[in-house]
Amino acid sequence: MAEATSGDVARVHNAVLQLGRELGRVQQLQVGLSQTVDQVASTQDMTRSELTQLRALFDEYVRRDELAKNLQLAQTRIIAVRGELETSYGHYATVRRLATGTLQAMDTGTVTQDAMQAASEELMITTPRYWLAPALVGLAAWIRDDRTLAERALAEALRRDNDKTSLFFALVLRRHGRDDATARWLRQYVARQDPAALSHEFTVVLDAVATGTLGPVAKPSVMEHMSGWYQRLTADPETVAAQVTRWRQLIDGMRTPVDPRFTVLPAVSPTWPVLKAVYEGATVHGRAEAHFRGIFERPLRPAPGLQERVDAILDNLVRSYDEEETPHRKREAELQAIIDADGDRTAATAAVAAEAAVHEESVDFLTLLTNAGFFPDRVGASDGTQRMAIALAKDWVVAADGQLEAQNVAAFPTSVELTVEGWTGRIDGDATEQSLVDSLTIHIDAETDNALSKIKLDGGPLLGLIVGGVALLLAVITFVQGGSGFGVFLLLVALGLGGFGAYSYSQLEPRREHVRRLGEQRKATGAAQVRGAVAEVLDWRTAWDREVDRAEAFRRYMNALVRDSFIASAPDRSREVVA
Amino acid sequence: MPRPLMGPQQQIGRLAPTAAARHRPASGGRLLTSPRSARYLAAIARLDASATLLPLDLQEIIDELHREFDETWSAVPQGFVAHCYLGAPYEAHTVTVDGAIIEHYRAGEPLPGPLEGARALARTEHYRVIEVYPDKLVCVRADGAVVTVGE
Repeated sequence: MAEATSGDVARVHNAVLQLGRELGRVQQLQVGLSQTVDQVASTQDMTRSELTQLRALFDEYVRRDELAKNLQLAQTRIIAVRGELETSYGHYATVRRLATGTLQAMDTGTVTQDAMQAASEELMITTPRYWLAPALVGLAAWIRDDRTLAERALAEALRRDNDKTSLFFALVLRRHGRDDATARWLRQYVARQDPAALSHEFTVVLDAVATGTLGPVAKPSVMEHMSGWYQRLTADPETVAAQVTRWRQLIDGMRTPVDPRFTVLPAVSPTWPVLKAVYEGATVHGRAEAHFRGIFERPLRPAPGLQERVDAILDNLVRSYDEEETPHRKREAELQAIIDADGDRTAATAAVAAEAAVHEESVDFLTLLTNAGFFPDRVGASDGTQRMAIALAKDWVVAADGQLEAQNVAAFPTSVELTVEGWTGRIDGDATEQSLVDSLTIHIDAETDNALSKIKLDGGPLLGLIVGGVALLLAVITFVQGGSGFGVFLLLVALGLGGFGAYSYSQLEPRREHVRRLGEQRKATGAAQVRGAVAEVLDWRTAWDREVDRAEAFRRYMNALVRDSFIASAPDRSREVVA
Repeated sequence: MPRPLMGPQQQIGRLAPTAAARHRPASGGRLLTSPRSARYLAAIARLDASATLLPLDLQEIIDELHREFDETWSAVPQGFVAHCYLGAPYEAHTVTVDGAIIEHYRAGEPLPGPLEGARALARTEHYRVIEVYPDKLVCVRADGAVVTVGE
C-alpha cells in the first residue's frame, strides 16, 4: 500500500511537474498572445487608415467618373446644338461675309455692279427673314444708283430689324465720309432706344465711341444720350446694386486654390475648410488686379484708317448673333461651360449664372457696359470698348471688390481647432505652441496611465498564486501531522503554482514598457503635428494678410482709370471735344 | 475686438445733440454711400481715447458724427462698432444710449442688439468704424472710403 502510495506520489509529482511546464508554456503563449494582440491592434489601426484612404480614393473615383460622364455627355450634346445652329442659321454666315466683302469690293472697284446685284439678290431669296439680305440689296442698288430698288430694299430691311439696319447704314455712310447722313441715322436709332432695355447691337455704338469712328456730327449727340443714360441709371441704387452684385460674382470667380504645401492642417484641423475658403476668397484681389492690368496694359493697335475701323465694327455688327439664335447660343454656352469645367456641373452652373446677362435679349445700359467689360468676346466688343466699359464700370468693380473683402474679413475664424491623437485643442489669441503641446502631453499621459493601470495580475496567474499559497499552507499542516507523501504532493503543487505566478508577474513589466513606449511615440508624433499645425496657421495668416492687402492696391489702380482716356478721337479729326 | 461706441439717440439734459440730430429718425433718409469726411474720421479717432473723455467732449463727438449724416439728409446709423485697441481681457467697449458712460466688454460677451452683427468685421483693423443700419452695415476705411454690406 505504501509502495502504491509512493508510486502514486511519484506519478502525481511527475504530473505536477508536467503541469508546471504546461503552465509555463501557457504563460509563454499568453505573453506571445499579448504581443500578437498589440500587433493586431496596430495592424487594425493601419487597416483603418488604409480603409479611410481607400474610401477617399473610391469617392474620388466616383466623382471623376461622374465628371467624365458629364463631360462626355456635354461634348456629344454640344455637337448636336452646333449642328442645329449650322443647319438653321449657317446660311447667315454667307450673308455676313458678303457685307464687308461688298464694301471692300466697292473700295477697290474690282467687282462689277451686276455681280454685286446678282449676289445680293440671290441671298435675299435664300435667307428669308434675315435683315442683312435686303440691306445688302439696298446697298448694291445704292451703288448702282437705283433709287427705287434701294428704297424698297431699305424699307424691307428696316421692317425686319430697324435697329441693326439703322446702325449698318450709319456705319456704311460714315465709311464714305457722309457725316450728316450718319448723324441722321444714328439720331433716329439712339432716340428709339430705351436705356433700360437695349439690344446687344448697342455694343456697336460703344465700339464706335471707343474707336473714334463716330463722325464729328453724330458724336456729341450720341455721347450726350449715353451720359444722360449713365447718370440716370446710376442714380438708381437698385440698378447699381445689381451691377455690383454681378461684378462681385465675376471677381469671386477668380479664386486661386490654396497652396498644396499645407499638409498638416488639412489632416488635423476641423477648421481647415473655413481656412481654405477664407484664403481662396482673399486671392481674388490680386487676380482681379492682374486681370484688369492685363486688359489695360496689353498693346492696343487701333486700325489706322477710318475705313478699317468701320469695317471692324461692321464685322461685329453683322457677326453678333441674332435674337432668334439666342436659345441655341445659350444652350451652347451652358454645354461649353460644362466642358470648360471638365464636367463639374456646379462650377459650370456658377459660371453660367455669372454670365447669364450676356444671353438676355435686352439689357439695361449698365449691364451692357458690364458685359462689354467682362465678356468682350461674347458680346462682340473690341479691346478699346472693353477698356472704356471698365473705366465706366470702375465704381461698381471697386464696390464689388470691397464687399468681397468685407465678406472675407467677416468670415475670418476666431480660432483654429485641432484634433490630434484623440485630443482636441484650439489655436486662438491666448494659446501658445508650448501650452498646446503641454495639453496634448497631459492628455496622452492620462491615456497611457489608464492603459498601464489595466496591466496587472488577473485570472489564471492570480488564482494560481492563491491556490499555490493554500497548497503551501496545507503542505505545512500535512507535514506537521506526519503525512509525508501528500505533503510532498501539496508542496510540489505550491511550488508549481508559485512558479507560474512569479513568472506571470515577471512578464507584466515588459508589457507595461511596451505601453509606455507607445505613449512616448504618440506624444512625439502628436507634438510634431501640433507644432506643424501652429507653423502652418502662421504661414496661412501671413499668406492671407498678403492676399487681402492686395485689395488696397487693386482699388487704387481701378480708381485711377479715367473714362475719357479710353475714347479715341476720329482718325479724320485731329481735335475733338468730348461731351 | 469690436467696440460699439454709441447708440443712435443721445439725449441727456444740457448735453443734448444738435437740433437736426434730435428731429431725425435713426433709419430715415437714404444710406450715405459717399466717402466720409475728414471731420467725421477725426471724431471717430477721438473716440479711441473715449476712456479719458469728459461727458461734454463725448457729446461733442457724438454731435459731430450726427452732423455727417444730417448735412446730407442721410439715415443715421443705429450704432457704431470699431476695432478695440485696449487689449486683453477687454474685447469691446460701448457708449450707452443715455450717453457718456463707457462700458467694457470681455471676449465672448455679446454686443447689444444689432451691433453684434458688426463684430466679425471689427475683429481686424481693416475698417476704422462700422456703421450699423437696420438692414445694412457700412464699413468705413481709414481714408474715408466706404463699403456697404448686406442686400
